[in-house]
This record gives sequence, structure tokens and C-alpha cells, in this order.
Amino acid sequence: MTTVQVEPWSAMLPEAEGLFPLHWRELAVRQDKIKISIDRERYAILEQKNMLHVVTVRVDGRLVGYAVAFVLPHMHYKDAGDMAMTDMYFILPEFRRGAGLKLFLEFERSLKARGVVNAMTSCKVHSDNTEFLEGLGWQWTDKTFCKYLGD
Amino acid sequence: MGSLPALAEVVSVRDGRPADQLWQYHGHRQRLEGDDAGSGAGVRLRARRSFNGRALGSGEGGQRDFLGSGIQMNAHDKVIEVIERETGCAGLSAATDIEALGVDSLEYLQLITTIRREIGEISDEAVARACTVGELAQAVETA
Repeated sequence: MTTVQVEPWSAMLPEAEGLFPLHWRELAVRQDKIKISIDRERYAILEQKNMLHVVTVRVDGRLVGYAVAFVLPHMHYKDAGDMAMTDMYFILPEFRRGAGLKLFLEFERSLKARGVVNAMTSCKVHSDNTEFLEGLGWQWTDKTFCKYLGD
Repeated sequence: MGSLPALAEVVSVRDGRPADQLWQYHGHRQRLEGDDAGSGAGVRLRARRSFNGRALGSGEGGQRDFLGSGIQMNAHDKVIEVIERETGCAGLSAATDIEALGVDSLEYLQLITTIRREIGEISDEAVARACTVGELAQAVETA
């Protein structure tokens, strides 16, 4: 049975460690230059400060996906209320048969329930979820560009 | 009968057709049971749809509806019908796992949008919680 629920980052992390490399391999850009290295200490600090929001997808208890957001007042609009910036979302390919919709609906519902007034998310150009996100009512407002400046 | 993708079985008639008369319509075999009666307008039929002996839901309609455009179905039956139509999956039951429909998240969202447009409201939370076709259908009926 597939379930979606809010969980603490620290509860998800042990199992998520096995998904992060798959997530990185499928979606990260400039993999030749930028290798995955999760900053566990800073995530733990954000969790302590209640600035993380984590929704998981589990199938018969096994972690198969997640959506993570940073939640805090926006630096430009501190009086507007908490805003959520999506950090990452991922579902193992073999469990994607509709689970993404469940994940995003619970992600939105639970963010709203904790008082978030505005949320931002994104998708890769090479893994385009625009139609799905717009179908859920998300508005395409920005284009994001990356440029590698290292050697 | 179990080999048919879905069955609409008339379980009782009031002022209806001879008992045990079998109908074939739109690929669904419809078995009439009940007291003998005429065939005029105003005949009421109660039917239940089932698959491999499992009930999917029930409905009631006039004979003209039944023979012309299908018996009036409750929301539960309509949800199953819409899912079968939109996904091409036949023989769905309330116990069918949504994952078994083989749709991705965009297609599932479009399916939910169609159900909302054609049948009725279903909350986001119910969609997030529903694991089976029956749970989805129940959420529409109780909305």
C-alpha cells in the first residue's frame, strides 16, 4: 500500500541515503564536476530550527520517494508569512505510477497546514514536469539558469 | 459470464420483463431476474454491476434508460466507468489498486480532473490517501 505522510528529516534520512545517489544520477547536472555529498550537519541544524518540511512516499513501509522544502519567511517579504522553497523531490522510477500526484497533493496540503502562504518548486529541463505542475495550479513564474564557474 | 470484462446484472424488476431474460448491450451482458411483467415505459429496473462475482456497485433506472443509454448509475459505478474509459482498463473492481492502472502522475491528475468534471468533487486529501479504485469512488460519493 502506498502512503504519503509528513516525517521528520531525521526519520527519513537513514533510508533516504539509499535513494540520494539514484536521485543525483537521474537529475543532477554537471555530474562530471559536482558530486553528491549531502551536508547532514546543516540539514540537522535546519531541522532543529523547524525550517525543513519533509513528505515521504512509502510502499508497505518502505521509503520510495520524498519531497523536501525549506520553510522560512522570505527575505524580501518578511511580513507576508512563511514561504516554502522546494529543495528536492524524487520517487524511485518503479513506483511512479501515480505516486507523484499523491506526493504533491500531500506536500501542498501539509505546507498549507503549517501556515505556508507561498511555495516555489522547479523541475529540470531534461525532466520536464511543467504540464503536471500547471495542472496542479502552480504558475510558471521564473526561468533558472546555471553556469559552472569552477575550473 | 466471468470472462466478460464487466457485467450489468438486473437483480430485480418491477413491472418488468420475464425472469432470466438475457440482454446483450454495449458488450455487457445484462441478466434480468424477477417477476414477469410487461415492457412498457416506466418499467423500473434495479441492477448491479459485477466482475467475476464481485459487486462493483448498483443502480436503478427506467427500462428505456437501461436499453438506450445504460442504467443510471451511482457515483461509485460512474467512477469505475470513467476510469475504464479513460485508461482502457477493463474489468476494474473496487479492489483494483490504482497503481495497476499503469498511469503516470500527469495521467492520474487528468483522470481526477475528468472525474471531478463529469461526476463530482473529490478532495485533494482523498486523492492523496486513496490506494484503490473503490477508495477513490467512495471519496466522490461522500464528498
